[in-house]
Amino acid sequence: MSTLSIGLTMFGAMLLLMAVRVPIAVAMFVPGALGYLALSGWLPLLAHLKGAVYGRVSVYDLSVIPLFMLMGGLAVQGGLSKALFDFANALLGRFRGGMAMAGVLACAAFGSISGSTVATTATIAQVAYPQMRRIGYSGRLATAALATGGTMGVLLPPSVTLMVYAILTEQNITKMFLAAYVPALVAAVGYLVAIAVVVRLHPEQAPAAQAASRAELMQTGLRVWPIVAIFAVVFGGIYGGLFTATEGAAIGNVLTLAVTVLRGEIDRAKFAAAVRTTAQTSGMIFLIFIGADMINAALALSQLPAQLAELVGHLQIPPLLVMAGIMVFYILLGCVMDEMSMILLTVPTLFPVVMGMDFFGLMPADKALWFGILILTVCEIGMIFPPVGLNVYIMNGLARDVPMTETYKGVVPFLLTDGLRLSLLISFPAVALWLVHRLT
Amino acid sequence: MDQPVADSAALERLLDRLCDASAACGALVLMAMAGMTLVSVVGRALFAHPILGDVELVQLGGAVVVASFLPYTQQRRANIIVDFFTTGASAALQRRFDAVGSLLYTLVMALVTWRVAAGGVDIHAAQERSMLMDLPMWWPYALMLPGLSLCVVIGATQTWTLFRSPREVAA
Amino acid sequence: QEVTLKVHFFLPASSFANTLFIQPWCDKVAAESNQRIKCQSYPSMQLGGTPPQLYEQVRDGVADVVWTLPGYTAGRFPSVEVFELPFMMQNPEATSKALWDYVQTHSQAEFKDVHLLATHVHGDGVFHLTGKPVKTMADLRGLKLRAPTRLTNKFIAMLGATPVSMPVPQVGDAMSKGVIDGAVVPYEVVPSVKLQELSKFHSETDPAEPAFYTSTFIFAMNKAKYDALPADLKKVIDANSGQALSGEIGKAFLKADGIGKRMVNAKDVNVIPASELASWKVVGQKLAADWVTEMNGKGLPGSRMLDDAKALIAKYAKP
Ligand code: NA
Ligand code: NA
Repeated sequence: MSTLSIGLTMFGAMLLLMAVRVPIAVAMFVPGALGYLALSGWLPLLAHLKGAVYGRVSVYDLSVIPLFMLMGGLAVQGGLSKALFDFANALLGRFRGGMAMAGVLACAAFGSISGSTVATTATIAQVAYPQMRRIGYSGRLATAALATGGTMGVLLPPSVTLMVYAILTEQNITKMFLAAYVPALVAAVGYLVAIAVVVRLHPEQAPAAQAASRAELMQTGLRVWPIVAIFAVVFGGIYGGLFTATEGAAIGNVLTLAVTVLRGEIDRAKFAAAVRTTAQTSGMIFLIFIGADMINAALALSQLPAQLAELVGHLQIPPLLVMAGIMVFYILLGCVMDEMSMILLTVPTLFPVVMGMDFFGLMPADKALWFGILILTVCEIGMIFPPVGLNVYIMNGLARDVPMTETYKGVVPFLLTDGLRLSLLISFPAVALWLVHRLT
Repeated sequence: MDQPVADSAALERLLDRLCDASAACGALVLMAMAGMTLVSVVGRALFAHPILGDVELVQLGGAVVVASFLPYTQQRRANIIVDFFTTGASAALQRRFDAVGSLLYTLVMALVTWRVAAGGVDIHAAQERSMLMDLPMWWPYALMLPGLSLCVVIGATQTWTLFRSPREVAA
Repeated sequence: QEVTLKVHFFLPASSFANTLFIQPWCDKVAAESNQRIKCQSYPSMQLGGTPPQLYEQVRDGVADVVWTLPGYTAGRFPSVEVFELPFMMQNPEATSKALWDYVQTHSQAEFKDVHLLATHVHGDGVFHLTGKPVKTMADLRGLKLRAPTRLTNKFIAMLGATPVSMPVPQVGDAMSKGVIDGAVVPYEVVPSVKLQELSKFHSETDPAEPAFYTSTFIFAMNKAKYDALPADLKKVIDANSGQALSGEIGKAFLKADGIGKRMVNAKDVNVIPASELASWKVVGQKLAADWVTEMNGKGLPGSRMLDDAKALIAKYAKP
């Protein structure tokens, strides 16, 4: 069996296992481990696993996940996040779908600092999802908006993934970041329009618009200040460069615990409830990381991503069709990989291919920036694309009352705007490059 | 038939308590990490004197936290599955699928537990220590083992329950 | 018989480490073996794991050949740390050759589980900073600085900065997120982590003085893989390993430093003069004395190791 066919078999076996209700982390791990075995043998597999799991769960940046989960859990149990949502709803409730839009924007803001799609969705959803349901959003719209919103922040500077792309392709980081702003803005507008259209066509998906009275606004405003203060410290500090996201999460935790305890809003039972949700969600997310890590290692060993990339690159067809093929390829990879693994494994092979082709007579430097934005965009689409979208799974795991089918149905309108945005980006590289040329 | 049911209910309660205890330990470590980080940030901001090695403490602690949280997730059957393709299948068939799923989960967690233990033994033998705090690097490996082993026990119990009574409708 | 070597390392394929040393080595053994030895390169840790785990990976056969720093795993390779003491290294080529000799005498037990192909050091370490340049020791106070290995972390702490230890691939990310205010790495790594764009100031020490730090590296092969090679292929590997290769790598890294330095803005570079470094050397001597005591405590001949390292460096430094 060639390494390529082993790679493809792993992929197929994973999909099959997923289809028959095997937990997705396990459905990734088992074919990954067997593939590794076939490619490299028992001893290397066993040796790989000695360090791989610890390596995956001891990442400094990823500790924001349990930290923000616990902070969110405490805020929920202590009534802080309800206060926040009541206030936000008093402000935005007059617009139908307003809270869903706020959720998407919160995801964008958080994603730009966390740099991880999965961490973003998990963190925001922990606080926002139950509240959206409480005020009358359908499970379909709430889960879809948050799962989709999570994919946007990774494009927003400072983006680690873009930085890695810039390093692999020797591009200027500042220009790379500049190229991301307009596409990210287009994405945001697309998502907000999608929500507006959905709530217009399907009014039952969102609560009726309801203008709050001045008194209500005052009343909710008075209860909201502790959580606003905590957010101001945490996010002000992170954006202001005073401390890292992990440090901000740690500080937010201590502050939230202190505020809720001092205000007598939390007792033993509520604290235990916060710990349980934290444990449940963090456990779910990290088990997926462990499973994905195993199949990623085996796929890297099989060189399937690199070989497929080469195959796509050597198709004797017009450049734009090749580009379309590349986009499909990334959406498929999005089934099992996070954006960072996709970039690391494929860009070294695909980049020279793309650079060798002519697109609208673009200069090499422009072509490189444009391609970077394009592949990061499709990587993120891949994470919510049916039937296997890592981020949809995470979101759905948080919303246990909503069937996966509902979430996927909800994602469709957002995917339509993604499709439009991608076509726009492919046909008009200026969307990405305009700001770069303007400012440099 | 009454006796085994009572037994399995007692076992279920014991596992519930163990998962809670494991999650509580994880939460304690997590809060300790948060407190330590706060002290370090304040020390850095006010006295230019952070805790040397705060980053590595978060890394070591993070591994222990995650391992302590994993059993609770499985006990609540909260590891995500795709129900998209099997919504039309009978409850009995779904239960058989779930039995296979939890069997595979058990095998994977057993493999992981074994290898993490082996990794810890290796690192102990090599006397590897953390860079700044000079802590033995086998400690986090060892502290991951209780949580990981509990995952294996839970997986095995669930598998056994699911295979034993395939007709019972999933709770 | 054909042999494919899985070569695993932590820097990207575009890094000087790959273009000036790993890839040329692969090409050379391929040519000399009539294409019977082939490398399958996995840059950027593509095979998984973390940079500190590379040593175990080559020992256990996860990879066949790795390039890594013994110092990423504190406590595992105490003997080679002596080369990472401050102000030991003046010329990477000479010091790399010295390191090879030294390892044959003092580090056989530590590296007994792998087949060493080469040992080397990199050129002068440089401060790359985001906020302000380092001109004197006082400028280091309160700065969060990334350092690679145990002794360099210690030295930086003794100088007044706050060390944050991490492998080099994480430096760019950490710098852009404000986890660190700067990093100590040689110029050679600059493009691999985009330091020419992420950092504003580059403070180097007087080039006439020895480097304030360097790091040791090993290029190592899985023992079983090497032992299983047929005699003629073993010969090819042997011809492309050892002291000569170590010296060449050191030379390649010096060349890479030159290219890397040209990538940063010359006006952002400042030189810390020898007069200022005098007080740094006092601190460095204290660290060396501490290290000798520590090694003696482990039952190793601390002062003999230090003296041997110095003597070997001096021996190969002679033109
Ligand atoms: Na970002
Ligand atoms: Na997908």
